[in-house]
Amino acid sequence: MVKTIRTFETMLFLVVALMSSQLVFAQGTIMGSLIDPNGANITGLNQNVTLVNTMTGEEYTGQTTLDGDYRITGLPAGTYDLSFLFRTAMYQSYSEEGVVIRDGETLEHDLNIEWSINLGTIGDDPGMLANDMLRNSGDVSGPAPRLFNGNIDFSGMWAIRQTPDVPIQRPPYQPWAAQMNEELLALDIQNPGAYCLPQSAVMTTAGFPMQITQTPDIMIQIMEFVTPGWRQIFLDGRDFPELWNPSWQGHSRGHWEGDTLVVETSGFNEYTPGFGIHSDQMVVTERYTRPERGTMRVEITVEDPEALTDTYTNIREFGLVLGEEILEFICAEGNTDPAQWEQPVWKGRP
Amino acid sequence: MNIKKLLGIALTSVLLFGISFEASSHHSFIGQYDPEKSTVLVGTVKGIRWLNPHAFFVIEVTNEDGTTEDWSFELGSPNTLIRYGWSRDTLKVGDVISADGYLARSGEKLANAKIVTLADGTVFQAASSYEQENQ
Repeated sequence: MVKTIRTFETMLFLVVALMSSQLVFAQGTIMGSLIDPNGANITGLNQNVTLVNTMTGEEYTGQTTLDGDYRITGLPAGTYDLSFLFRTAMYQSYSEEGVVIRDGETLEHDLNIEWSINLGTIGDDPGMLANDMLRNSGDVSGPAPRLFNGNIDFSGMWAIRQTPDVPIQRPPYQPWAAQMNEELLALDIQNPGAYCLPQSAVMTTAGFPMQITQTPDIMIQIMEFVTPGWRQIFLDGRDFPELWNPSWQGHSRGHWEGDTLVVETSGFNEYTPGFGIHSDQMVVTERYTRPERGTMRVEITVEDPEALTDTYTNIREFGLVLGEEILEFICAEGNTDPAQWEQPVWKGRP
Repeated sequence: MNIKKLLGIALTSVLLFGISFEASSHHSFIGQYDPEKSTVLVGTVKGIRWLNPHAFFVIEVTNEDGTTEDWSFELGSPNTLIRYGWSRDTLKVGDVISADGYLARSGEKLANAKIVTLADGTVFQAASSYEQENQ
């Protein structure tokens, strides 16, 4: 009996040892660099390369280093979909199917990232600028600050934080608006920002560095690279004015729901950009929260009963920037292309 | 008025009035430049237009037959460039530099600037934002 037990124990030990050794060998590694079309490593990013096992659906991630390299270990052998999501004017996101990881092997796999719309022009990417500002800000930990009256204080300089895995919601157009949008896109005309006009009806969607200064009665937003570059949000309970010219940025009024600042903006003209085809009845509601000192989150809901079949909501996440300031940007000083004066005035419609 | 100040004014005049800069607009690059056609040119800096929304520089390129032509290169905003260590004094008239970019679809002697190598060997390019900051 004892001999049988010992034999069984030995066999059990051998089986466990064999299985363990199989587990050790049945893992692989992938490593490489992010390479841009110039052949250079894309430096300064701390974003994830993601692999999804096509059989199990398991996800594995590895953060890129500041030198532009990545490495993911402990990958079970198999086939993977690989993605690197990064939304900027400089670089397109990258995705690839059928990446094969083998037992005990290291796959050296560089990711060749393509240019996005700015074709690699030096000094022309607000997305990379935001990323670099946030990376250089240092320690932004701690609770969200409050004003003397207890309101969350959103004051500070903010830059867009990358959330490329958050899908962008498109406007649910009514048929006439959908068709008009197609016609407008087909014309392939420049964003009004190209003519030094506002880039977006609501500044928080424009994507440039922004300074917020807030008192109990008013919030002032100042944004670089855009016209007019300022926006006021009234927090004193006033109503929409009786006399109002429909305008590019509308009229903004905010109230508090706990620690959420709810800002409603109306009074837009029908051609202000940033929200596609819309009527002058469009109302944009932003919900600002600051869960911690270093983060501001804005949910932006659009309603327009004339142009849309439903409301839709997008989210912007901002990180706190320290050690920087908004610089002057006079768009018209060098905007000398005669074509801009020959084109019809931007009217947001075909 | 001393000589230095006079020279400064003279140079400024050359920069602003002596060179024909291509008209510029604040626009999307992919609409104006062709990503299928790139060029690398070596030339002598003739002028810099350090203005928003886009800075420009012009280099005089000498062809194989000895003729010269002026080429303009477009950059992004001085606001961004300065944050990556490039100021309006970085390029000086007379510097020999190389510039690498995509050609304007219009056929003008114009390209966007995606790699610029300065006279002292410093390289500016899109991907090296982190390296530029730390130089």
